[in-house]
Amino acid sequence: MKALTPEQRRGLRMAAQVACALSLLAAGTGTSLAKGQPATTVGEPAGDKSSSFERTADVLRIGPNSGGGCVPSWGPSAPCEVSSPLFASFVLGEEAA
Amino acid sequence: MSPPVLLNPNGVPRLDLRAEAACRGRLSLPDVRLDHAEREALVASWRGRMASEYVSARVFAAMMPQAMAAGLSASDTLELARMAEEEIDHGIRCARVLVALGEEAVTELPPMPRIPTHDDAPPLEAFLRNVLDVSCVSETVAVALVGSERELAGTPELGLELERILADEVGHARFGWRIVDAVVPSLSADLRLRLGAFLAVTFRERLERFAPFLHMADATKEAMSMGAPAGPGTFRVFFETLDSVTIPRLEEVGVPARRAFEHALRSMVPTHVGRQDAA
Repeated sequence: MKALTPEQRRGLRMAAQVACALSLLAAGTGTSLAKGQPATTVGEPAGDKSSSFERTADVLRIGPNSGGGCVPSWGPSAPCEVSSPLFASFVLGEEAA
Repeated sequence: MSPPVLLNPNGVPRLDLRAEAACRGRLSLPDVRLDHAEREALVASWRGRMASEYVSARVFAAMMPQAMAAGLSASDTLELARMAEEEIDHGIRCARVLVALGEEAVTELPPMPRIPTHDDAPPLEAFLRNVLDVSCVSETVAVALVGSERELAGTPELGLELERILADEVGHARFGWRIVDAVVPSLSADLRLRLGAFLAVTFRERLERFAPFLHMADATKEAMSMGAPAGPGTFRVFFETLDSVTIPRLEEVGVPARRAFEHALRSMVPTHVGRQDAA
């Protein structure tokens, strides 16, 4: 799959700054500033990051294909209910149901 | 003047934002040629966005009583009301683009599942679940997506609409991260584990929702200059946001988000492939 475009990298940096900004403000020390940096660069993925993405994409490609027809939405949808057995298996430290 | 209740013959509520879009004046779009399929996909995208932004107002509105029950401040509760209003405003901005494409800003509303109240959990945990889902996942991904799409807008007017939407999404994401930073580190390990469990459910649902983008063709530059989603690149941005922003930040405050993601992913491996292949 193609690498991120420059516009996509900038979008990701913005998301990283949004999530990290408050940890930078709250901490205020040199070490905290280092901790508060965006968790990773959003440039070209390499090594583990690339394999993590490919592994995820491979799992999803194997699964049922809804055949496109996906309409992107920005606005939040209704959060999930926790009736899923996934919740219980995580709490109990079991393999995913 | 439109009637107070708009229903299609099948009883589905209809969203009509023609008047609201007209009040804001005409928007110019890039003068580019798209083939028929691209144009249809572009119109479907903007019509879908118009509806989904509009109905997402109910998500923030429904979080208000949860915020009150959890003991959040009046200013935070008021901010939820503002965010609900902003989502309706986003619907109108999308309607302007539809009109600029020569389409009517009218559509059926999509299904509106109820906003969970998480009655199995105490009020603060219930509220935090929805904050994680809405702000730390959905709106943080939205910042990355709209942030990249804004850069490709082909006219200043379209760019300004996306800029305004982006500014609001930044606020929606920041709302959640601010609350997470303030509250989560002092929670018990058990409660943080339960938040991780909820994240596993959320991550699975999002992976299912974004997976179809992997199978789409790449959008052309011309289509993206009019706001079309990138296609497989949309999935890439979604994944990278979770992997490099949301998950590490939640791990910082003691929520086992990485394990939650792996748990969700393993649950999606078809049984004939075998779970160890996903490890």
